[in-house]
Amino acid sequence: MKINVRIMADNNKPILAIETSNKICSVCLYFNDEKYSEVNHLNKYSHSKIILSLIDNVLKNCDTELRDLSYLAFSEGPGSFTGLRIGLSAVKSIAFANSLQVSMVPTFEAAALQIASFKKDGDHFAVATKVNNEEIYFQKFKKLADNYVVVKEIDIINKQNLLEHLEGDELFAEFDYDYKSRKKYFAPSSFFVAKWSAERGAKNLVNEIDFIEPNYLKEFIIRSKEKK
Amino acid sequence: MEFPFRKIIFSESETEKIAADFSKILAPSDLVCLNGSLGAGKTFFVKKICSSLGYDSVSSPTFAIVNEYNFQKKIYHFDFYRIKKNLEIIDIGFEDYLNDSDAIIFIEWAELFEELLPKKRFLVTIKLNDDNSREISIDNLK
Repeated sequence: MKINVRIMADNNKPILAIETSNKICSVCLYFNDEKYSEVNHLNKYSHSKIILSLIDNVLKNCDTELRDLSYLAFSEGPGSFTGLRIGLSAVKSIAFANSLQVSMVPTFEAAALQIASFKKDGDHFAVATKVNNEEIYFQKFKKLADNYVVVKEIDIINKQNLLEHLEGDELFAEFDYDYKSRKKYFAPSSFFVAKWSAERGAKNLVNEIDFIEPNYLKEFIIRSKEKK
Repeated sequence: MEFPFRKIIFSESETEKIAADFSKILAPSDLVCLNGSLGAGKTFFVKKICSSLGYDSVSSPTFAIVNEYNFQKKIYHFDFYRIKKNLEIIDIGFEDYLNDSDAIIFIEWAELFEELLPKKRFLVTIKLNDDNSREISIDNLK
């Protein structure tokens, strides 16, 4: 009888975090806040070419083997359809080959953790990325006691209505938008994907890697056919 | 060129002229949908637009579904003719292609999966008449 032994999360072992939901391909080998190796590669449409060498790179930098990992953290989206598929394919194959668990990290919440790290207590901010030319993914947060709280759950909104949704909050978005307090933002760095999973995600580690999927948030083809 | 554009043409060189005029107004992130029966000249029209933009090796993407041309201007050239279900298009990352603001996108047989298309697009319709002339119309949908 074949016994499949899963390696359970171990605080002393590093987490390998992967972020591919946008133009940046980011990989981090995270031991703790004082010890990690992160590489970021910004060049769109190169994720599939570069991701494995980035992983290899961080592992070698820290003299670590895949079997030494605690678990994998994946930035699950929402974001680029192809990007998320590339990232999850890499995660699934590494998890399968090394009997590792996977922590699915909500991309926007990892971003909120990153943004909260340099905001003042009580600051409000919104994160948005493009779905298509008409719609955007949108979520609102507030910094509270060195962490963040969700003010408005993630949703798909029409870009035309963005201003009223913002209600004056600072906006972190990758697309061009004429707004006084807009900061350029692509995606969370993989360091914060790892940190999010270390702080919040270790409880819901997934064993059944066959069934995990990116969180696209939207059902594709939500636009109904125009009536003629 | 003003929209809506309509013209009846009798020769390839006239198509070429319209394609050349049309190519001048195309900019990255524009989407051009082409409809018309088999042999109407959709691929020919795209070919001529691309050659006005300086690229001559355009072939029909009917078999490959999408051809990508990388030269001074990036071009994605789709053909939906062989697609049976809209999920097949989504599976090849269609939304990511649409979101690429650096590229001009052409889609032949776009009417087959109209529900996937953004509202803002150019619609080129080529109608083959009985006397072998063609009617080319171009609309700028918003």
